[in-house]
Amino acid sequence: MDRSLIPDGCRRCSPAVFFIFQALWMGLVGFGILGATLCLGLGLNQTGLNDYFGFGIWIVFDLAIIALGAGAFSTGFLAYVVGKKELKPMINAAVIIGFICYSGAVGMLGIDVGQPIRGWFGFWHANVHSMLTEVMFCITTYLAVLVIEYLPNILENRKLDKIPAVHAFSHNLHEIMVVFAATGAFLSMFHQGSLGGLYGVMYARPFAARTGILIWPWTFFLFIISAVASGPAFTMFCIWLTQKISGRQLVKREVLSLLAKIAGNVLLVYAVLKLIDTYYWATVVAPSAGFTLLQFYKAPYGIHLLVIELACAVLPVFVLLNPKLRDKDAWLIPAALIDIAGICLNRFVFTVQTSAVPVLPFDKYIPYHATWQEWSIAIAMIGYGLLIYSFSYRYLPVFPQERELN
Amino acid sequence: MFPWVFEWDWEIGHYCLLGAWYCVCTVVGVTLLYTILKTASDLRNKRDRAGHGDDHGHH
Repeated sequence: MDRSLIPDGCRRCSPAVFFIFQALWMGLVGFGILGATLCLGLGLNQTGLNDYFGFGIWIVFDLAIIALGAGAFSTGFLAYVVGKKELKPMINAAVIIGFICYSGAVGMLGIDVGQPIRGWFGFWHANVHSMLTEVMFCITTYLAVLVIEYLPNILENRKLDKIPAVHAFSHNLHEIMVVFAATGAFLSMFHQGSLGGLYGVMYARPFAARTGILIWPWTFFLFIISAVASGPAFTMFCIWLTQKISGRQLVKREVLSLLAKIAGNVLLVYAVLKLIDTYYWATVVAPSAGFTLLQFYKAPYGIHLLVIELACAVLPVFVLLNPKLRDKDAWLIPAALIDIAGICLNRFVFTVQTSAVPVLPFDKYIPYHATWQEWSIAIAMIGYGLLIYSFSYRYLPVFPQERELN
Repeated sequence: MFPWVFEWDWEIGHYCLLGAWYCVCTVVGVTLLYTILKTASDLRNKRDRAGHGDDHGHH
């Protein structure tokens, strides 16, 4: 039925099977639309957000998916600016995943702000002293850059590519992509950093506050490094999963190994710096604010969270940097998943646990409870991502090596 | 966001943050415009070459 839209020489599942899966993902999105309608119609009292928790599960998801979407800018920078041509076969997939992550995050933020119709206030009345203003500007601009980077792949659809103007435009965009890759890397560095910086500057919350250099707390740099450590791992995992589900080899094994090596090297740097930062914070920064380490950790956010977070930063390094181990899926995939889980846990700890820790003598240590409306929107983002990715894989030439490898 | 909005202040925070952002927007905008103009020029050249090719054919 849609054979003429599928890339030349590539096999895809039958339209019926495809549309059954899309119906599933649309069901998830529909569930999220229900939750969003309630939140926009009845207010943020539909959520677990309150005076204690200005940040909830949505911000955890936002920070996590923005970190995981860092595979787009980091591999784009390496492929186009540094010149690592071995990454070109996976760059389309990385851009699509990046687009999904950033557009999903912006969509979720639209509900989180409560009144998205006033979303432009943050731009028009910009508070230049706020880390979040910088985040807002950079994320929206980077989303625009991602759309421009996604465009050539869309225009290379078999039918669209036949139109001379479309073909010429996508060809010219490809030629100049290095400019967008460089600006994307510049924007991403700053917003990934500022997302960490916004917690590090909270001097009234000793759990999150850090010393730093000039205006930047150490969390600024840790968030950039952790994003670059987890983004390529997430991209590599998505490509591996696509291969498994489709039963086709989409990229050469060396590409996955290279992504794992990049993630492993950056994760090693992150693990070392994170250990140093945690030690210094626990022994100097927190005590200077009158806290001991264990005062920050009470059920359900016990000290086990810190142990797991650090373990997730250290353990994958041994696999990802070992050429023999990263060439075996049985080692590579769990290592990548642990890397990803560690960074997601890090975002959770900084977002939710920071707010749970009391800062006034009469405050209590209160855990966060997300409502089903919040979960519905977070799950909808996953459904949205699967929809976009599925359509892209089916109808666009995402993997240039697919024909020769099958 | 803009100098004519009443909250604007000519100080280092505005220069750095908004100055950098305007630079990035300019680079992205100019590059996109260049791509569109180059595409238009390529299409025009292709049409001209096709036209000259027809003329040669007639001689």
